[in-house]
Amino acid sequence: MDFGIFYEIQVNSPLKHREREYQAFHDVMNQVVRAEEVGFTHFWTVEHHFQVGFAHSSAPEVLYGAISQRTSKIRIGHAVVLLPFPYNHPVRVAERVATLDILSNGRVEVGTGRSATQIELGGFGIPYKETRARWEEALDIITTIWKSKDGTFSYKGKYYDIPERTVVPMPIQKPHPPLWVACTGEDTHELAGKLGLGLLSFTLLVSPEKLGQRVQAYRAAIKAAKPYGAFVNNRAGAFAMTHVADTDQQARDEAERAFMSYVNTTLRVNAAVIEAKKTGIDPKEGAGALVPDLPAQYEGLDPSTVTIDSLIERGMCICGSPDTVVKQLEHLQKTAQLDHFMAMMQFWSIPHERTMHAIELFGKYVIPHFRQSVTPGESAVAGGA
Amino acid sequence: MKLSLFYELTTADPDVPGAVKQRFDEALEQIQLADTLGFNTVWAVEHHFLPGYSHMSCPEQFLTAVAMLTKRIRLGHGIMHMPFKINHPFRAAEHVATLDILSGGRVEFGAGRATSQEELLGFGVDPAETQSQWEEALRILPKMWTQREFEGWESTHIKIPPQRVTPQPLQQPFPPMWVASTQPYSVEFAGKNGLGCLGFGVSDTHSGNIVQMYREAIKQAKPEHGVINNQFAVLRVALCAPTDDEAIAIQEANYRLFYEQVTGLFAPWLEDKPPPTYEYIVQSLKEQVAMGQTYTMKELVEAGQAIIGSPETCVRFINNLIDAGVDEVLLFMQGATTPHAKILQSIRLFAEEVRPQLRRP
Repeated sequence: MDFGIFYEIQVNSPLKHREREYQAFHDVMNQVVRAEEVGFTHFWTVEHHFQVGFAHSSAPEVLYGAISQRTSKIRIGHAVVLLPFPYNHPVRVAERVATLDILSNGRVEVGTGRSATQIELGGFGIPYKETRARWEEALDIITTIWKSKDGTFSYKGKYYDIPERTVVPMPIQKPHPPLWVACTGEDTHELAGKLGLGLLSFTLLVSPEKLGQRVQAYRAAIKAAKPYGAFVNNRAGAFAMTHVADTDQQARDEAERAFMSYVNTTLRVNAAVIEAKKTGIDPKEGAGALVPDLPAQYEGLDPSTVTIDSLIERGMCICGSPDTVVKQLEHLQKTAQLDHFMAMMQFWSIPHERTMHAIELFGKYVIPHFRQSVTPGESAVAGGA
Repeated sequence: MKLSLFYELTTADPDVPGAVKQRFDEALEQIQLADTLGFNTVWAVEHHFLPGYSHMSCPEQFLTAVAMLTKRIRLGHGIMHMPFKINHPFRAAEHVATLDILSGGRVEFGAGRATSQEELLGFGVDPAETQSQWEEALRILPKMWTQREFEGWESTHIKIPPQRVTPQPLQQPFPPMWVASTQPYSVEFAGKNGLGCLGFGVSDTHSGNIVQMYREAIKQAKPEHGVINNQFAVLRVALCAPTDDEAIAIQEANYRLFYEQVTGLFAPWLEDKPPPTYEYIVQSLKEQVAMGQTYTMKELVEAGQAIIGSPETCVRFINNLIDAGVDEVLLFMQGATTPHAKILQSIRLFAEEVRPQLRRP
């Protein structure tokens, strides 16, 4: 299992303290440089819009241009680039990824997603019911471009009608950078496998056992994959809120506010779409009156009963001293059979120095422990699963 | 007079493996040198679907890479396409703000409306709508950069609900704004709205009058956001070498190729009727094509069409621009076949032998 560091880019009270946004971006860059030095193999960020305080990574491609020059080995991954137009046009995505691939000497990973919050979908005028179809057509276009000889293509679909054009530049990685998809529900984990895409399991409040079931569904489906891309990317990754400190107590105390705030904000922001998926009611209609502040049930749990201790106990976050963290990750690894673990370590309420310390500890004590383990993805492909 | 750089990432043979990457790497090295020698700004275009002519389809990423490798040189969008289907205003605002934060406040923001059929039709943009979308974007973006919650915008082109745009730029209230001007209307527009003018179609035969027109117009400027960026810049294909002959030998083919390619972009409209608002640039291109066909490179330089020559020649023609009231010259040196070593030499000569001799260095 290899390790990535995953960012929303959180900022503490940015409206009152304008300079903190600048500081957060520069702290993140310094963290990533250090993360590369201590053995993290991947760097990932989200793409979120309008989430003041919670996520300032609204233009990740711009940040990656900078990261490409400040690092030399760490993979640079979108987790994810939002494909429904007009968040991004598929041609622009192809161009950006190729440009980054050139600037970074072939280190790009392309995680794709379709967006799950009403505030963002509403801001860009995207009907939530169309997000999957828009995502899929965009993915089809991007892979068509990359599978062509020199970027020359044309496309006529439901959402795009593009006359023959040649897209420049083209990526360095051949046949193209690895493709992934963000998955939250059971059905999408299976779809990821069917389409031969890497799995970015973006579930919150999910036990390692449940995650393991989803990864199994992915592995089963990927055996018969019909990929959009030129190759199957059989890689299962998942993220978790992560914090490491010298003692369990210190880690828990430093992380409590951060983790609880993250859980609450995520659920609140996703609530409209979560409810809509359950009830079939479009979040735009019936909004306000019908949409609760927090979903009553999330992954079988009552969100109002969640505490930092229950999160730790249920293996729904990674938090403790280095020894404890190793044990937690071993349990996760044994149960979920991941190829890749994405540690989300930067939070608005955890000071930069504490996050740097966590990165140091993670690199010194945790990553080396997992270096010998066989990659589950490989054994699955070999027929071992 | 500010000396700046201009990049298209032109590549003579893009199908050769590694050729495009080499242009990127060389450009970054050139810019790093220019940064240490005090060049003012590096301006990057935005172009799509034009292999060979330009591989700068993601300037926002290129400029952040430049930001990490340099300390002082400013980072200019020359220009970002404003038609909403190419750059949605939210995304344009976020890109610029993020670049501004990561670079420590070095962005110069030039806005344009995209000029080729390849690009406009490739993205499904109606050429007749680009002017009004560009004008709207110029009013929308400052609001996104300064309002705590962006107030929203509604027009026939786009409906944007109120939202908190994040991040917001480092420079206050926002980075200096410019527009690309290729015709009298847009030069006047730049002046009236207090915007810097990137005179992309301005050759020497018009320089003096056009700059005066701009300065007159900007006297009356009272933009909504209250910020005036009184700057006039011109673009020149350029190269400085120890002698005129050497410079011309290196750069003549690239100068001619550049104008051939630019003309080619407008070819369907050169024969036919240009879409509304594109008539002037098509006409002035026709004139330049005629000139290019009959003049030698030396004559073209003498006519102020390019700054290609020895340090003395370069001094002479930049002084002409100073006399015409121009503030900044964008030196377009990385042509299709211009050798990397010659560009580095040119950058050094401009800094060490041209700038000190200028009337107003």
